[in-house]
Amino acid sequence: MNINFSLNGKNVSVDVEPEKRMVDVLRENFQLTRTKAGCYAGACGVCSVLAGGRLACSCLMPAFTARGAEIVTIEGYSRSREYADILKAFLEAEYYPCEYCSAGRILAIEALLTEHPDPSESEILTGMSGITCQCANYTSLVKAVEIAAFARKMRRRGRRT
Amino acid sequence: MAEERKRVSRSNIYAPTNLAELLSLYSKLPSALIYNGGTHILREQPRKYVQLPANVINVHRVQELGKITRTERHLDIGAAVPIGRILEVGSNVVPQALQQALSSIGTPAVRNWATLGGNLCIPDRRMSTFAVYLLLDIQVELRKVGSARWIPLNRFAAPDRKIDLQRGEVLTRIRIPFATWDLQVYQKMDRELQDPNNFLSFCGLARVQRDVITDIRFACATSGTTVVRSREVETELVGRRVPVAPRELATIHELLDGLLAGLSDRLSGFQVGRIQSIFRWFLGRLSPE
Repeated sequence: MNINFSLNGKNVSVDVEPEKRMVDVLRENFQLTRTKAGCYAGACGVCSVLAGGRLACSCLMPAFTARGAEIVTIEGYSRSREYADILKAFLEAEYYPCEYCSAGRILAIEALLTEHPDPSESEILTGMSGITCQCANYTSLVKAVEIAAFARKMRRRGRRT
Repeated sequence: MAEERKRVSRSNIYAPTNLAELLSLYSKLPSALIYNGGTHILREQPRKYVQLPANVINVHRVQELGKITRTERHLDIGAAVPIGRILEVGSNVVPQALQQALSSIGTPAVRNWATLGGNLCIPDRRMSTFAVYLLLDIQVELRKVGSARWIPLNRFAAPDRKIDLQRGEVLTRIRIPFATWDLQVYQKMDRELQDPNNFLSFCGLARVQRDVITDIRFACATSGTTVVRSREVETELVGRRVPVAPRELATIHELLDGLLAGLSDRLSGFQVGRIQSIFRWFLGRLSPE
């Protein structure tokens, strides 16, 4: 089945079986290997991507559902200023996620800050609850998200942080 | 790898863009799988390739199924509206107990794709939100070519039975009536997929006027099709003053215990204990205004 969709801002076309999961399409057909394959059940969150601006588990998307969709993976998102803000916030908060879950975490933060530009602690914990990797502590994660939210707010106001 | 290369897809995927097209297609292919969020279907198959039937109808682009409309008396939610979007509508529109129940489904990424229609159409499970739907008197609209019907949820998905969908019929809308409740509680105990034998969800709704219970409803749902609701206990509670006196409570608990004893083949001892405790907790939360 030929599937056309937008991947990281570019229109792409791929010939795959409709039953193949998007996480495998991204990793095997497009070599976007920073999106990890984990539980294949939507529980671990390491396969997270943004689909139409919404956070999605790419393991819960069969390839046919991508037709006409706008998919952004961590490789595409890493070209944005917001990505740099999040990385800077991680360093500042001394939050160091492992390579396995970091892509999912960063995209979950992006989705959270799009929905809640000034999130409360409980909104942060809820927003991040989909990534179940236990590599780093949640106190510094909350701090990192708050710093990233502040940086984004300042950027939108056109000031330097 | 060689095996993967040889793989040939056996599924035909259809993507109608409006309801008329969907109903016409489904009447011709009644055994097709109606697909939208797919979260439940894919979660049940934790393997590399998903197994799909010969015909799949992806309803993601059917505009009529993605709408939320509100009138003075009720909220109509299209069957393909993602749960995340319903939650965005806000607690002043969606009843609090339903809001809590929907928030407890999966992770934020799953809620962005899972839908109410999908949640209701799982034939052999009632899922964690069923108790809330039941108590809120939710109705569902079922349509097929040339006909449409609204039926209450307890007829669509009666306890201990599979769902009532006729050949070629599609669940298109879910109607949530607006009603004011003084107390709305929702609790989910254990994870339904990981621990199905112990899992329970509980919903309780009550109206209290001048310290007297005027309406009260409660229900528990298991991970299968068993739903515990006792109209007898509810009727017994209506008209009583809050807090309910300990002697009156004993009579009510006896009634509930009798009901639970009759369900011992479908509930584990642990679940029975949990229902008794949570019911006690719910009644304890009924306090004078």
